[in-house]
Amino acid sequence: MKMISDEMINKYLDNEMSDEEIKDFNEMLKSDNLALDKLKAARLVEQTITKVELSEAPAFITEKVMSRVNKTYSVARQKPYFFYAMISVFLVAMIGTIGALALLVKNNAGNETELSFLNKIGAFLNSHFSFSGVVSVLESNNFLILGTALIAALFITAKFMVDSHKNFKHKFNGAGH
Amino acid sequence: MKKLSDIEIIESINRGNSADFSLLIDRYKDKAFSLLKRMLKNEMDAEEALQDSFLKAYNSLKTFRQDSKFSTWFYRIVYNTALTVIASKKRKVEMEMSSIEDHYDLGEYDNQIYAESENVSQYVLKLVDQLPVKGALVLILFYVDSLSLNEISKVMDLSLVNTKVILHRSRNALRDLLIKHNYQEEIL
Repeated sequence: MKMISDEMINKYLDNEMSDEEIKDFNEMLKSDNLALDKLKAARLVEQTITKVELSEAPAFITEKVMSRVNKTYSVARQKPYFFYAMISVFLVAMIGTIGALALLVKNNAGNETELSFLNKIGAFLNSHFSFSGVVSVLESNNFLILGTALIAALFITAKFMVDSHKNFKHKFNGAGH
Repeated sequence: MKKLSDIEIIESINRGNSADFSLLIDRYKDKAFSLLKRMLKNEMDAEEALQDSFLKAYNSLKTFRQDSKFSTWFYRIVYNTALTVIASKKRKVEMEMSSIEDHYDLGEYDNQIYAESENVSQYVLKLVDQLPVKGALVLILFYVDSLSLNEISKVMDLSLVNTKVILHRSRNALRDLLIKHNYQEEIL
């Protein structure tokens, strides 16, 4: 008579037998006392280990980990907003200034005979960056372009400042939990 | 109140609610600590490794692809953190060196453990402590944490065949000693 091997017992315990195999296994168990003892002992091992008591994690471990998490989170979240704000002010101011300069140069270029691009810039700067030049810029309509560019920069910066404040509030409220 | 799933908690954290990470900590801290204590044999090391494991998990949450359960992914972090601690303390890296040829013969410990144990549960659990660490871990992850063999193989970076062999050898070693002392008729 075929004896039940350890491999068969393990296959049975791991629920890897087909219905047909289970049927044959149960039939063979009736006449194989050693296999029956092994099966009972293995079941007892399973029942015991399933009931093992877990070691309790140290007290306040959640608070300790969250404290470290919040430190990491606040450092990671604060920097980008400040950086974005500075970059946005710089970029918009640059775009606005270049745009205003280009328009002013273009306006003045129509009154000159043919000059190289650099000479045009130089002529413009000479004519506008004296005291009377500054007054004329402030009085001119082109000042509106510069003003608009600066206001746009201020709005974008304000947006990042508000987001940064919200982030700070969130971190502050989270630290209380 | 409906209990949130691990995935729901992770999605909330990824939306910016970092405080929800405390829910995952509370859910897994005891099991992770038990695993670490078993591997590191030292409560202080286990606590430090536990904090490091959770912090690594938090920092890597955005890379968790949900192609496995969070528990599998997290236990892998815990397991690797323990291996790092073992290696850094320059202990003999028995776990990395060992193979399925680990010593599963518990006969030399049996007499003392049998004499010291008041009941079959105590006896079995003391024997588990004497198993090779990999064998004990596979049993605990399989029966206590209800991980599948496939998941255990991912946690411990073993092949599925290796994992199965370790489970069977560990279970058979304990089973045979229970039969030796006629414990198989006990009912828990």
